[in-house]
Amino acid sequence: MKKSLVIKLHIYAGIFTSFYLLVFGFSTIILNHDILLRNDIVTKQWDAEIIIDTTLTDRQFAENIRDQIGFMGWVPPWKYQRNASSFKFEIVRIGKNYELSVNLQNGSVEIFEIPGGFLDVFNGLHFFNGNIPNAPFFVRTWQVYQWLSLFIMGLSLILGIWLWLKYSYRPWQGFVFGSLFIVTIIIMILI
Amino acid sequence: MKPKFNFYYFIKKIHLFASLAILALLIMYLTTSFMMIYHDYFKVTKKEDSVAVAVMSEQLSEANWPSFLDQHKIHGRLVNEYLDRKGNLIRRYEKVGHATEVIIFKENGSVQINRKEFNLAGKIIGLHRIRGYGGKIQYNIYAVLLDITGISLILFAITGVILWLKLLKHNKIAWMILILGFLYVSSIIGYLIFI
Repeated sequence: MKKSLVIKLHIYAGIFTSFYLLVFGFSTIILNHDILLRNDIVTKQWDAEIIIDTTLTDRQFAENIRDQIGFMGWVPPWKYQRNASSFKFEIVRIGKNYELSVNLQNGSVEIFEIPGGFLDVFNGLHFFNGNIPNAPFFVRTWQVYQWLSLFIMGLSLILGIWLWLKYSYRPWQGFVFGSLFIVTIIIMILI
Repeated sequence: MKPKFNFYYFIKKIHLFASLAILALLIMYLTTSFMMIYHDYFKVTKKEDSVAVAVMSEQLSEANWPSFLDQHKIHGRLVNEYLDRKGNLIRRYEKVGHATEVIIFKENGSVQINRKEFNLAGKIIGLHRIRGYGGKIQYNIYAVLLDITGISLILFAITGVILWLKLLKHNKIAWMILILGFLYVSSIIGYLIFI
């Protein structure tokens, strides 16, 4: 294969994956140091009205309210709190959480919004696969982008190594980075 | 004569060395990412067992605790320690592919050991998830490698763009990939923040 073609392909692949690499790099450091990026500050509060269906289980009820209000996110069961007059639960997703308190007598819902902010979303893209309940098609396309980014990253890596081995390889580099490769594998086996 | 500093050569070397330094981890992350995406083909299963152990109180002292762990083959590092609602002390240990929970009962001082051992897929994917400092030296070396990986990935992306601007600055396809990629990623981020 011609060198110029391989360089071009390596560059195209690299540019395509560069945003994903930034996300991965950033979130790797954040996770490794357990840095908390999300706060618990409520920035917005408003009320809504819903129709109460008394035949539903708690989970179905929480999902039903989420759908009636038109939010996207999961409704974790361990956050449900029910008593005779109210039902409280949370809707969680990358970038935003909502705390909801439903008045079971009249169907009014108090909604508290807790945003994550840019860094939380940027970090969260590491785990995000586009599949959030009620997410629009646009958000779901992230799983295609994620798959392509990983595949093209692998391709770019292979092309880059090929270029290195063929055109700029030095024995000391092979020794240093080969040793580091082996040491890393040994550490992975030991942990 | 003093040799002239070659910026392009310098950036190229950073780009190359940043990738070579983390090659093993990059291969592991790419492999495990696909294993997680195709989780139906790489099913994670686990074997669980639980044993109750009668102990003398001195066996549970801080000084004797490491030998207790050795005696009962409890591997890995302590990842969590807390009192449950009944006041029992829970200690959780993790090693790639293994998770052990040790419950020290408040009432009679007896101990229960709950073990989970994951299959090969679980062990390989466990490498993707393990992180953070603490524990024996190998865990700390791995944490250093993860920090190097994070920094290298950022450097890798930035130097890659600089090299492209030097080599193929007027290439329309490259610009199109960059602009479309930026618009797509920033739209997703914007949507998740504001909507």
